[in-house]
Amino acid sequence: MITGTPKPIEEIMEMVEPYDNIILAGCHGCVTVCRVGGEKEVQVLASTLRLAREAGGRTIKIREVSLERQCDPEYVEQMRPYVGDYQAVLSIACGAGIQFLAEKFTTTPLLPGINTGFLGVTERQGEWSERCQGCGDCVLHLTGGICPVTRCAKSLFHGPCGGSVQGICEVDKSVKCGWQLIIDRLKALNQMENYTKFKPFKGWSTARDGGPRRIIREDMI
Amino acid sequence: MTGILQTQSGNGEHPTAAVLVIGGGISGMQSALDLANAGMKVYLVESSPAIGGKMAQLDKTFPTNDCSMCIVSPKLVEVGRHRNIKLFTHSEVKSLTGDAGRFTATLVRHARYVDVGACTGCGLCEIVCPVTQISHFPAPPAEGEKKTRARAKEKRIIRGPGLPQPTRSQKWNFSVDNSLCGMCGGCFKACLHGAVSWEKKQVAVIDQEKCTGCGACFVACPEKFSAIAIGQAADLEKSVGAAVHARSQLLKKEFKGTGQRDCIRCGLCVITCDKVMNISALKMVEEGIEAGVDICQVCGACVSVCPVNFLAIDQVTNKVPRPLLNSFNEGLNGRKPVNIFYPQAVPRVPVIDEESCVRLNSGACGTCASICGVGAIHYDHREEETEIAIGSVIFSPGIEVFDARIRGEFGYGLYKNVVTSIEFERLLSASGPTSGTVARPGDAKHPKKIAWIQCVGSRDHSCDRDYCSSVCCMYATKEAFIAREHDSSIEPTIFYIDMRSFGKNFDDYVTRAKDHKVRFVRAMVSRIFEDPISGDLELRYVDGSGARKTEMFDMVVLSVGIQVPKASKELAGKLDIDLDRYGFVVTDCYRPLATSRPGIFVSGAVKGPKDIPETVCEASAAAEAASASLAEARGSLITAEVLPPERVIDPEEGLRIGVFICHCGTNIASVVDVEAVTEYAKTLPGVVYAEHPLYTCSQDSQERMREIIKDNRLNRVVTSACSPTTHEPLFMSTLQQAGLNKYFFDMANIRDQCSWVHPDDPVLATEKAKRLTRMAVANATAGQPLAEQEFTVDARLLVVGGGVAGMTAALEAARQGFGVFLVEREGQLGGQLLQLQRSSDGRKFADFLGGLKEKVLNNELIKVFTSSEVVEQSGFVGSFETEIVTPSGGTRTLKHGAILVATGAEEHRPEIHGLGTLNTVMTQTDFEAALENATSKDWQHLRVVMLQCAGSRDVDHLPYCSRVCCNHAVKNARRLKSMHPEARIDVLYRDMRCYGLAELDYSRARREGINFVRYDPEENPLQITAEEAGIEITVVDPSVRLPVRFHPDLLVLSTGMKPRDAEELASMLRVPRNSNGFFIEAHAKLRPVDLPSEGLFMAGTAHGPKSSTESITQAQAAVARAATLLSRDSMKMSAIVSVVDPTHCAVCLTCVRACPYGVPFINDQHSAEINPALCQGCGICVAECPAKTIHLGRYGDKNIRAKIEAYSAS
Repeated sequence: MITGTPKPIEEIMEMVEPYDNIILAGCHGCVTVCRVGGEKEVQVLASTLRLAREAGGRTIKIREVSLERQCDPEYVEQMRPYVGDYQAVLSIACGAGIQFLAEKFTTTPLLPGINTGFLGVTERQGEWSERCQGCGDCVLHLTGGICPVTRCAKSLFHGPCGGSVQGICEVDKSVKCGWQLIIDRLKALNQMENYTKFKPFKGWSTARDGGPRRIIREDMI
Repeated sequence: MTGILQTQSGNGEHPTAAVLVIGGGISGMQSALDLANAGMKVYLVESSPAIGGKMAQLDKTFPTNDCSMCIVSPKLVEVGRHRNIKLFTHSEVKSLTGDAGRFTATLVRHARYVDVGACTGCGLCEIVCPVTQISHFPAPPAEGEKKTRARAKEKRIIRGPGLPQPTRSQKWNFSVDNSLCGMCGGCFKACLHGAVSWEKKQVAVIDQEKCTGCGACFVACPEKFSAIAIGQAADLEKSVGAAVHARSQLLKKEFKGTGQRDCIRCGLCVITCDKVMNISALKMVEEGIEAGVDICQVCGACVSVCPVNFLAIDQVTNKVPRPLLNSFNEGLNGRKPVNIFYPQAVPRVPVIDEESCVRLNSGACGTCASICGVGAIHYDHREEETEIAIGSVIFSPGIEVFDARIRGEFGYGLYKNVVTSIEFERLLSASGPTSGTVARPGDAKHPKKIAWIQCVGSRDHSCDRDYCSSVCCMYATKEAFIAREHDSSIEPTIFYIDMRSFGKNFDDYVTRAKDHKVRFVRAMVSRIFEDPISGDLELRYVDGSGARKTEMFDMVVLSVGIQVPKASKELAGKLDIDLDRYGFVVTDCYRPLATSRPGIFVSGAVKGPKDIPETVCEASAAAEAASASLAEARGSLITAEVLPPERVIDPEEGLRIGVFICHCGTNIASVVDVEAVTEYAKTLPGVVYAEHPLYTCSQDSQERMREIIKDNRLNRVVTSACSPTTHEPLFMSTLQQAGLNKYFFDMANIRDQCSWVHPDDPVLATEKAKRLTRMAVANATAGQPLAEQEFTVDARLLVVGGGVAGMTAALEAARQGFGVFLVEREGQLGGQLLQLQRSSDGRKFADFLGGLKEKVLNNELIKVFTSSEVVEQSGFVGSFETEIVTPSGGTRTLKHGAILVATGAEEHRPEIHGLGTLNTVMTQTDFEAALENATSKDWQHLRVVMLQCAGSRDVDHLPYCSRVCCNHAVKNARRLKSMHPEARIDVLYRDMRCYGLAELDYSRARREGINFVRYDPEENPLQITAEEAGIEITVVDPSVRLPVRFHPDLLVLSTGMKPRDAEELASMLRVPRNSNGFFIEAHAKLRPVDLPSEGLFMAGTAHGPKSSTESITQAQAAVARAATLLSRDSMKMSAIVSVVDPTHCAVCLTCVRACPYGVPFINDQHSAEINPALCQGCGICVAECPAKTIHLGRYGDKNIRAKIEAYSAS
């Protein structure tokens, strides 16, 4: 799931300052599940903005919308009939959704209401952590199901660095050393030979280093 | 086997399916509810004017700090409203004849002087009653003699700092009725303002210009003429007393805060004394008020009507005033003779006190009857006797606190700032005499240092209170804790002997209190001295080091013990049941609820000191015990409600809203202009009918409402009245009786939120009432009819665990007529009790278990599955399905209506001090078994050290107290000593937690020569070496303050109890367990054997460590709770349940995680789903759902929005 955190209300207030008539768009996808951009957050944020603006002596008209997903054109198109009636769209979907709206509605300014986080999992209600950086070349079968790209702060590929102390990463005391986790898991799985197996250097061209990426599935087109 | 309730066979020889419950405290109420909800008729007799008992007096409850009143008041209301509970308050049991199954009881209902049926509980009578003292009533005239008024011989003039300043405010108009005037001139002489002109043989004339309206003329006019007429006096048509009250209230408001100290010559005191009280001891004179101090009856009326506090009671009389004290507030403040016992009382109906009421004693006054809007006051009430037929009796009259005056060294009764713990509860209580402000009774100052002294009237042979009162350690800790919550500058200190925090989570509570700066000092205070000037108190004690200490405190709270009141002992005598020497009811440890007389059962602290949850548990258990033998006649004496078919409202039908704005006597109407609110309501959209009944809740108003709904074809109803908590169910049932869906209703609380809180601003209060009414109308407009689904109940019970709790439960459920499945994991029944040897009274457990097992196995209603385990569970209350694996490896599906978890606990066996490796080290259980076979002469001079809390109350092992070990050690030590008097036993302990009557055995043990040496793991740790070569233990003995060394032959460890593994079962049943693995009850105080999910109950040590007797009690309690479900043919699900609209469900799991009852799940349609039968309707998922796709009955956004919009609209 793509995770995110709400932007501070002051920042959003500043963004919408020039406008009196906007759309606030939520998304029923990931951001609903991680509780930053669903139907409820749309209603809460809209009410907050109205109250804050009224407190400042100005009103703001907000149309509350929640799309099934902001990253699919069919759903995005549902907004087209009325988007022109508004001065701006404040989206609380992930960065992909917001950009997609901006791309589709070229004459309307798009404002981000959340800070998009990472591809992660729910540890428990209210706590998420990162698991995948989308490097495009998965090695989890060799590393006990623990990703060295994401879980190691340096994305090392051949074991821990000198900053690993008693299983804790030097970057932050709350971060476990990814390689310690990998080794512990490999030992438990009796797969330590994977650790010593020769691995050639990783090609990062399939990751972000290769520039913006595209996936084309010929079989589906 | 059959799961169906046995129906009555036709021979007519059935027991009476009714139970008499004596005592309306929490115990009696719980018994009554469990019985009535399981098809038994209940007669609940309470000697005080209202039910509630001691619990209603408490401020908060340990260990959760829940407000006592808040948690008990729903029970009060439920008992009060229950159609199958007949309440006899202010009543007593006179006699009981007959035998079990067919008793006849004679009940005496003392004269209440207020009609319980007619009274609406508005409290106006109490407000207008002017009497505050117990009067010295004039002697009644001798027979044949005419009643004459006494004339004052001793007169005293009461003066203010200045001369009287006559007021004309709110003045009454006095005039002379020419036709009646006797021309005597009395009025002329009485008038101090020269307003009356009169000449001999002439009619008097009052000059209205000069008249100040003091009424001196009115009082002076002889009764035979009664020629002075009064005009413009509000409420005069009711009575003079009512009119005096009305003017007094207005003047009080006017003079409030003006600092007026001189007499305002309103004349109300004089008029009251003469015209209302018929005494005439007061007279207005130039300098002030002249009081005939010898004829004053000291009723206090003049003082209470005086608008400016000019008069004081001790000025107007030469007698000693006897203030009428509020017993509910432990005498900390005053009350009126007509008095509602406490604000939340059920029934909320006053009683008139025969000792102090003027009307009942002298025939004067009668103000309360004149003001009562429903004519509920009847001075001619007499005591009434009623005979009732019952099958069983539950004796639960409760307890009183020890009279602290007996411990004279603490100065209670002499030193004002020494209070008892129950008085302190009232001081903490928001509804108490200080409205929850912690203030010293002596000078109302806020105390800073407060000391609690434990064991006052407990564990004390000198005043014949040898037993431990069980609750004081915890309530003192709670009071100290809460006092600091009220005022964080308070420094509490608790002086104690042993900290007996033996219950579930109690030790954690004490630790929390310590973290909140509650200081605990292990010392007994020897004396208190009062500083007569400051009122501060000097405490003297000897501390742990042996040093004599003196310490000053601002206030002292005596933790008084509990005892059986004399009246209860007398009643027990009438009922012919055996008591012990302290008055506690004697029971058998295997039949803990049965008294010595068959058919009479006992519950609560009258059977031995205990706290609320134990009392509630016993109450349920007593209900079970009392009804088991009556089960065949179940349902034969109860009445069921019959409702007309519900009118289907056509969606096209326009809104037809009826609005009822309640006067509540004058409770609302004296502040809020109800007529204006009614007129306003008529203008609201959809409202077709509005009226303003005097009492909307009264019987006749409710009947009228039903007619109005029908005649006007109303489809929504709104009442603006009092609290929905107490009255919404009543109005909703009226809607149902009128054939309207009950959810087409809403209620605005214009009493608590308008008239009560804004008495000084009637205009704004009225505006607020309009606004609240508007919101309620908007909400009713948005209302939807909700349906309550009905389903049939399977009358069988699944019991998981075949120990003593499980077997007892199975057997009792079968006696109640329910089919039982008893599933036990082990190969044989018996559980942990198989490991133990003897009960507290020395009988062998094996004999008891043998008998129990035989009965279980031979009962045709019980199906036993040994070596079997629950593997899957589904369904909901009334209709569960459980799959078990049987020894053959096959599975079986059991269908049943309720589940009882009795998975038990086992002895903890930590590898400490050589346990398991040395044969000289053993647990108490091992030792008990060894004792059984110890005929060996080697044991004659055996040296034994028993180590308490070995692996208990220890974060590295069991962090909690196991409750039973102290008693276990005392039992085993005494047994060894009785077998081998030469043996030496030393018990090393931290706190001897021999709670309740077990204290008696502990003191016997000490007398028998068993040594008890206290250690402390931090301050006075033990040095233990246990090896093959021998055992050596060193510790400082605090009693001699020297190190001592033991070389025992045996080291016996009291290791405590740990729950058996029930993790899988708990997750299958979706019920929570605490961090120690014990199941968590639905409510720590009031639902001790219920699990949080409906239809699930628990008993025995699965809940927490406890003795076998306590486990038996819990088993019976759990069966009583289950019987309230299983005895029904069908059940209705609440209509207020969460419903998921799958269209927008993001399957985000938020509801699944948020639900405290574990109800939502993701179904195979990829949507969250909530089973309406399991949903508790709390609304948490609704609020949390990020897709806003969960809806809850009448609490939808639509409703809330309607209310908010109506609020903000002008």
